[in-house]
This record gives sequence, C-alpha cells and structure tokens, in this order.
Amino acid sequence: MACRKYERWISDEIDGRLSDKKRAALRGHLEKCEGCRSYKENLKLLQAEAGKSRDAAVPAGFMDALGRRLEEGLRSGPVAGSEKATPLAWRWKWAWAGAAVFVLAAGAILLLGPKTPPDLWPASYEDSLARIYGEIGEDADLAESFDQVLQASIGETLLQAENPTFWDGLGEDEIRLMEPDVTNGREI
Amino acid sequence: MVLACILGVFLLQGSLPAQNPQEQGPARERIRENVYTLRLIRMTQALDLTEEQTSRIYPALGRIEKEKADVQRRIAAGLRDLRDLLGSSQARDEDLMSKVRALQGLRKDLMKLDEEFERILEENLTVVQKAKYVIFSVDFYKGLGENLKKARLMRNKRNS
Repeated sequence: MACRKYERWISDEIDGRLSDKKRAALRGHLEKCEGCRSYKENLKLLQAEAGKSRDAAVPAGFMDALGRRLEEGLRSGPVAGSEKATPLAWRWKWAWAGAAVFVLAAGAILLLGPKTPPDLWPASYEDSLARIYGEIGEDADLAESFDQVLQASIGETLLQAENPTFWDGLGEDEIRLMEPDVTNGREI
Repeated sequence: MVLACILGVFLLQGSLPAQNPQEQGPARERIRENVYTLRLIRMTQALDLTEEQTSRIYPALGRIEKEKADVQRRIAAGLRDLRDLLGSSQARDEDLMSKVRALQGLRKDLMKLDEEFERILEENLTVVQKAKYVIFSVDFYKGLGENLKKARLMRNKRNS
C-alpha cells in the first residue's frame, strides 16, 4: 500500500511536479525499497523511449488506413459493451427527438395558431377595399358592374329603410320590372 | 332617424373630393364613394344609431373619409411615379428609396385614419353597439365580396 503511494510520487518526480518535502521522504523510502528503485529505473527508461518515438515519422499511408478503419468502425455501429457507444447513440436519439419536437411544434402553430382568414376578418376597411380594387384590377367592365351592384344595394337599403314592407308587397313580375332600374341606380 | 341618416350620407357625398381622372381612375373613386355610402347606411341600421350618435359620428367619419380619399389619391400618384421611375434607365437608388419611403408613410397615414375611425366609434357606441359593429364589419366585408361575384356575373352576361 505504501509502495503504491511512492510509485505515484516517483511518477510526479520524473514529471517535475513533486514538492521538496515529498522528494525527501521518497529518497528515504527508495534507500530502503529495492522494488521502488527498480520501478523508478524502468519508468525513466520508458520516458526516454517515449521521447525518442515523438520524433519518429508516421509511415506512409498510415493516416489513410487509420481513416478507413475509423469509418468502418463508425459504419458498423457501436461495439457491444462499449462504454462510449451509448452516449453517441443517445446523442442521435436526442437529435431526432429534437427534430421531431420542432416539426410537431411548427405544425401545431400552423394548425392551431391564431387564424385571421381574410374572408372572415379583414384587418380593416381599407384592406377590404384594397382587396376589392386588387380583384377588379384594370378590368373597367368589372368596375362598372361592381359600381352598379353597389348603387342597387344602396337603393334597396334606402327603400327598405323607408318602407320595410315595400319589397314584401311586390309580386315577382313587379320586381322583375323594377330590376333594371335598381341595377342601373336609377330612382324608382 | 333613418331619413336623417340618408340626408347626411348624401350631404357627405357632396363634400367628398371631386373625381379626377388624371390622378386616379374615376371608376375606382366612384366605387370608393358608393362603398362608403352603403357602409354608413347599413351601419346606421345594423347598430340602430340614435340621432344624437349620428350627429357626433357622421361629421367625424365624413372628415376621415375625405382625408382617406386624399391619401389614396396620393398613393395612386406615388405608385405611378414609382412605376415610371423603375421604367426609366436612369433611376437612381436615392430617388427610388425616397418614393418607397413616401409610399410607406402614406400607407401609415391611411392606417392611422382607419384607427381614428374605429376610435370615434369606440367613443360613441354602447357596448352592445360595439359588439354589433364587429359582426356588422365582418358581414359587410363579406357582402362586398359577394357583390363583386354578382358584378362578375353581370359582366359575363353582358359580354356573352
């Protein structure tokens, strides 16, 4: 148990991160413990080898081969029992879940959101007029016909206001006879 | 009361700006006047306005309608200028932008006048009349669409 602590200290000493106090204690232990002295020697050797390999050139094609192996690994899916495979899979699941929530929310807003269909609730009188003007466009005949219908509506409304039963008292023939006058906005 | 309304409507019609074919299509101007007249008559009936209410509402609505017609004419003139400017090969960005801004401003003026119209009604109507006005507006706008359908049928019959 004690040696495990000193092994950690040996590693820290080689890395230059050991305090003076611990270094003194480690020196005292190494004088007594042959196993730890051997461990220290091996660790120093290993570090020296690692330093040499840092400058070693990567063989040609190594990176391509590594890329291929990584791609194959990803394509074949997570390795069973692998601890890192689960978070990746979950990330995808969360991504799909997020996308689904977004699509549902957008659909809900479109379907259930406040609706103001122009036919039912135009924003204003001016908008309503603008729509009529837009539909008439440059069609002079349609503009004239629309104006005639408006005048007829005015005449009809005024007549009803003066005598609400006026139209009720008229027969089919009489109405047909008066229709052109009303349509043309002439006084009856 | 309704007779007073009718009289008021025709007096107002007389006070509206005269048609000017140079600035805007006379048909469009006439349509505007007739839609306004029809709306006023129908509104008076639908809301059952009292004489006291009409004496307060009509003059204000008449003034607003006059101002709106004037703004509409300026919009029409502005649109014509903008079309001409776009058609010319020497249109500068600044000129175009100034026309666009002017039109945007006029559109806002129109919306403000519309809001003023609604505010005057809001101040002078009872709660029940306000409720009736909402229904009336929807029906009236729908009615305009139906009148346009009738007009199409009339035109088609005439042309066939």
